[in-house]
Amino acid sequence: MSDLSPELRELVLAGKGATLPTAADSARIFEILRARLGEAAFASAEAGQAVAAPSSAGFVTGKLATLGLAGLALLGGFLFFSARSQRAVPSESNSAPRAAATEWAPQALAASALAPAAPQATDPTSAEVAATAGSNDGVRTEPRPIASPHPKDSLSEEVAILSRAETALHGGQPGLALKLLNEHERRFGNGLLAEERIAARIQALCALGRTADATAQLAQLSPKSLHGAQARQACGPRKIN
Amino acid sequence: MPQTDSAARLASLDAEPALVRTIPITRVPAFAEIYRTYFSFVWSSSRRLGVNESEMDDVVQEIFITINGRLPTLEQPESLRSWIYSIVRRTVSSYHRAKRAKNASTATLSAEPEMHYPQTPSPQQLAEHSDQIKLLWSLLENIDATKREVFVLAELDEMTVPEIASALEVPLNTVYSRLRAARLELEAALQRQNAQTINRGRSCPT
Repeated sequence: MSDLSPELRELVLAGKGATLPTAADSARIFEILRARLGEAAFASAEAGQAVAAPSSAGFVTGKLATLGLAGLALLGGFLFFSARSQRAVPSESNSAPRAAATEWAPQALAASALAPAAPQATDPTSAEVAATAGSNDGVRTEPRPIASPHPKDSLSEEVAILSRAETALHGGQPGLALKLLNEHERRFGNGLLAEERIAARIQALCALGRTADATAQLAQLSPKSLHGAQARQACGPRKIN
Repeated sequence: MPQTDSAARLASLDAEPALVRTIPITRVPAFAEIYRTYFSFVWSSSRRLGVNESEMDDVVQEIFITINGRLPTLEQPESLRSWIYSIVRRTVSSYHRAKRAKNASTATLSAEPEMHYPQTPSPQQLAEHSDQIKLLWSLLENIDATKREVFVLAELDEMTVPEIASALEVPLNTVYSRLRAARLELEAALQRQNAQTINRGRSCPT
């Protein structure tokens, strides 16, 4: 980007964050893929890591191993996104817009057959998030209470808290979002979604007019972080650096 | 030394999962690692290539299904990102073809996927920084599609020129010339835009 004028560079920076997915997008597709590909595709992270890079730093291996193991735990944990995931696993009740995608991706139908049936609810947080996700889908879906075989799975809890924070943030409640993000930090510290938490916190702080605090948070992210770029842009006219 | 390099590389990948990689990869990563590392890239690329928001889940999962299936055939792990982008491009092309066939009366899309920019940014984007994004998209829409794609890959995705050449299967010099031309055209368009804004400001009674 060195050849660009400052003005065009600024536009490019805005564009970088414009099409980024959310943590919920990632979790939702992850769950669909697990249903379609099976455990082996994701569990192989551990084996692949061990064979290919036996000398990897412990925490890195551990974190990737966590990701692999998370595949097992996510079976229930991420099912709270099932209401939204129905866009990819169309049911007969879904309307025309879904049909186009189904024609293009016929395997999606197979996925619906492979997808595990939603069990009964035990986790109110998951049910709450499922309700929120479902309401964004355009297709009115009743909140589908679901249970996790690992209700206390940390990754699913991380996603749940961040989803609630994101909902609060976009609902004009940055204070509540901040509380939830603080709770996430207290419980998970450098969890798998720590970077997403920092980016969300920057946005919440900006919304509260606390630009100095937002700038301090931004320093925790890599200068090249796309999450940082997104958060920086989300702060809009309240410039932070 | 190789151990240290490997650890450092993996630590870097792990610390910045959303970043575009410029670090050479000398082995084929496991699918789960690819998912974690490249999900944002695949998502953003698909969106920029014109996939409707309501169909993003289908397209993105199809891309990862393809990646998983073809991973054993990947011969050059160092070209992983280019390889992934070429899969994104082909998958999105199939998506556009299917849509065109379904909706022949309004078929205006070319056979090749083009960089179409999301016309429906999220409410957050609309509320907070829509002006800059709208301006960028409008500038990009007005340059040639081949130049636009190279510019976006180079500037937004921070892909190297060799990576872009590999992904698009065009010569290096072609990428260089398209990138140079795109930058010049965008700078000129931005200047015109600024001049128009100033003129409008002058002509408006205060």
